[in-house]
Amino acid sequence: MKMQSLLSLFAVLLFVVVGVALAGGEKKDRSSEIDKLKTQVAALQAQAQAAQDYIAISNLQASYGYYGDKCEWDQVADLFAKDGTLEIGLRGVWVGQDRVRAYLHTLPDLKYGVLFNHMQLQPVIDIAPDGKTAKARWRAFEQFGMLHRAAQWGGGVYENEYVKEDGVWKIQKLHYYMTYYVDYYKGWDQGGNPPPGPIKGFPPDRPTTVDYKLYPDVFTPPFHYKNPVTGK
Amino acid sequence: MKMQSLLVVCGIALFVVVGVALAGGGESKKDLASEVDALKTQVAALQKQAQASQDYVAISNLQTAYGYYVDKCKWDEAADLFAKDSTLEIGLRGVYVGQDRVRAYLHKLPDLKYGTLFNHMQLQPKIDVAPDGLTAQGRWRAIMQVGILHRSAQWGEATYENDYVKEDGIWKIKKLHAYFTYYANYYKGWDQGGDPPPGPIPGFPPDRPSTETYGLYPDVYVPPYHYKNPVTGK
Repeated sequence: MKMQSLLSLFAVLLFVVVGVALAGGEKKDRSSEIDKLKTQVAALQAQAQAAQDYIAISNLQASYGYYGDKCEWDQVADLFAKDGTLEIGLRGVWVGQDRVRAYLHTLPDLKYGVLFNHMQLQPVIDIAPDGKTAKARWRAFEQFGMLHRAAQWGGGVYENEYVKEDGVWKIQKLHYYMTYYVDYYKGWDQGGNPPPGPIKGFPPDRPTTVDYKLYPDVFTPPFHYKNPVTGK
Repeated sequence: MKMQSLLVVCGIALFVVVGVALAGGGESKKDLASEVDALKTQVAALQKQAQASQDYVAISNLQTAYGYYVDKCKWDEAADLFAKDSTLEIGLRGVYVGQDRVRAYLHKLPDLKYGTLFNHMQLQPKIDVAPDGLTAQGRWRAIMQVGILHRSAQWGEATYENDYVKEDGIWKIKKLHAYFTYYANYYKGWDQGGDPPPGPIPGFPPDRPSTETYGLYPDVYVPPYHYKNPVTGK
């Protein structure tokens, strides 16, 4: 009798052990599902962040344009990283945010009779896989006016670099390649106007990085990207 | 007796095994639950982030759709992009309040017919979606080419400061405010001082006066920004 009851206890316990073992297997399935979810979530985080980074950089460059239009030079300079560089046309390179700021303050002030439109258009923005730097090609379409003195069209291409510092995107390098300047009344078939020359008493920190000429000469600013379809 | 003691040993051993298994299972259950909680938090943050990107795209598409309809004088299509209680203020013509009045205003503009060019390119968006994802603001600009055959050819440029609202999952224009920068006769250019902006519409006064007054080029005016400097926050 005793023997029998012990045997039945043994059977019950065995049943429980098997049950727990089976439950453990289920748990193992679950934890592998969780691992899979973790991987998917990590991939999604990178994807969602990349989209947000694109938007932030697009907004950053659009802000640059809106401030520039209105000659708000300190606001423009504030968009640059501390070690940011600026190269506009063939005027050479200004190095560091303070020098960028000083350069910008040599440009016109906003006052009656000044039109200084620099439309920021057609972005190709590529964010590095680590999400910390980015490069972009943009173009500007410009309308300049000085009342009773000048009206000009201008066009050019930017190849810019950006850096994310403490979660905020900043301009690391701004490089504007001018395509043409033309007098409004002459049009571009007359050969165009020369680009803005050196600033008297304010030499750049480094010479121009790429030499080229404006229209009627032709020049293709180097692309930061490969063909997005072929990768070549 | 020997058999009995063997069984007892077996029993004890099993008991220990079961105890260990149960204890281990409980612990890993706790781990799993906290991992699931962490995932839920991450997914919630991701949903917000992904939605914010989608909202940016939807608003960008909304404003460019507005531009394409305006180009072709599709005034009902343009009016349909506005919320019921929206407003429209173009240049210095005052404010029209409510979608019906916006529609009526738009129908005062030219019809598309032979000899009409009415290009309004919608460019350079700076779009900020509110943290709750229900409203947004956008600064845009338009470059305009307006032509009437044998009568006039003009360049124009404007800055928009617009508000948007999401209703039943759809973004709509809540407020459209276009500040004109200049109008210029094609043959005169802008250095001659530019053309005046479109005047009041006879017999169709606005519901409210202009919210701001300013002069077009050669005057200069900075339309207020809806945003702070994106780097300094100032």
